[in-house]
Amino acid sequence: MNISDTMIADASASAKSESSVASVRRMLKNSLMISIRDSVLLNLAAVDLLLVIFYIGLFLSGFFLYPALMGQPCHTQAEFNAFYNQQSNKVILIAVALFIQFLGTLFTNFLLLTVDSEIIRVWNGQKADFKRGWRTAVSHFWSLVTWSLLITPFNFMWIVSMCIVIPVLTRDRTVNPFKMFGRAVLLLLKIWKEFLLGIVGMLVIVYWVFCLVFGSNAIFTAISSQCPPFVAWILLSVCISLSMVALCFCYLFCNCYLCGQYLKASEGVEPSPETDAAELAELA
Amino acid sequence: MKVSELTLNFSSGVPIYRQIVQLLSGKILSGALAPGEKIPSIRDVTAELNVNPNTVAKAYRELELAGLIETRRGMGCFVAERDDARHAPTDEEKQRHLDTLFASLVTSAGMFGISEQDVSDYLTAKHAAITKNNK
Repeated sequence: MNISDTMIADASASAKSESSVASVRRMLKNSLMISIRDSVLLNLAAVDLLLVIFYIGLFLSGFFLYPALMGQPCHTQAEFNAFYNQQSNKVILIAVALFIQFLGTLFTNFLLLTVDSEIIRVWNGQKADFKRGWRTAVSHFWSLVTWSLLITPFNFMWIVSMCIVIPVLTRDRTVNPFKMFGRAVLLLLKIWKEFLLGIVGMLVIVYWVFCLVFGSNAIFTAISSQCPPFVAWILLSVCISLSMVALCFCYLFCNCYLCGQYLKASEGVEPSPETDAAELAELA
Repeated sequence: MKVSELTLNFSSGVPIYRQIVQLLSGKILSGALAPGEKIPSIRDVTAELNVNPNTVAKAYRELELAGLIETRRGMGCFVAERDDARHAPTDEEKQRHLDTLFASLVTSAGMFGISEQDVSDYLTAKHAAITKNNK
């Protein structure tokens, strides 16, 4: 028997015996396991999400504060529209807004790469490391800059960035954003059926997590209306914490699944954070 | 053999497990890896190259089934001892190797938008040019 024979036989056998649904189910299960088990990863995702929320807050407050700083405080939508329409230096304003949007996109992609690179490490059986994730993102800085420059004018592109491009960037140092996008699309084409099935499964899980959180929040709110104020405040903080944890968990879970699919497409083998112990003992 | 000798190309489009199989089989068949020589463990390859253990395990399984490496329980993987007659690749093995090379060439070319037909035409033209030069 030679190598090619074995490879072809193995590939066709696995393709026949394995249905896409079973593979997707296993990947989703493994993604859930990674999201729950690795606390460092959850902390990393939480820090990233908080930083993104902080940046969005900063951007929005700047948008609202600017008229006030110029001596024309606005209170209604019409006043805001009138203020921004009357500006003589509109081009500069648009340029500044685009620059701020570019910084936001770069910042978000940077944080996403930090999380994704560590998720891939965890998929590969290693432990997540906060500093290593940041170092990886720093080493890909110029790739991130060019990609962010390309997608800045298109708001919807963040989803493309999250789903297919950033996972590819974790192990690819291409600076050309078109090449980067082309490679990501080619990898996606290899597993498009499982990818789409997985997205549906992912959304179902996220939906149930949020149903659970909103349900418990509704119960807390109902209880708090009949409690003394200090108990109500405690319940409110529990509600907010629960929602934040759910948000972080869903963010991490989705990224774990997307990175798992990327690994499957690029390595040609379905990844698993835990290889069969007996097999490892025999081969390692 | 060191893990650093395994250079993987994450942007080529060729699956990583296939790259590992090609690299190691190439080294073994060319004699760069002597029979009995130890090859890196799955853990070492996984940690240094940041690839999934399943990928390396699959590549090693392929090589083991092809009779190129053998697993010694508790000691690791080694290049299989082979007699000289078997060591030299047969015509069929050569043909299969060419098939694998062509498949990876087509995949890599696809990354640049070059079709299979273009690759085939290029090889035919190249072959004709070489034949002409030799005459």
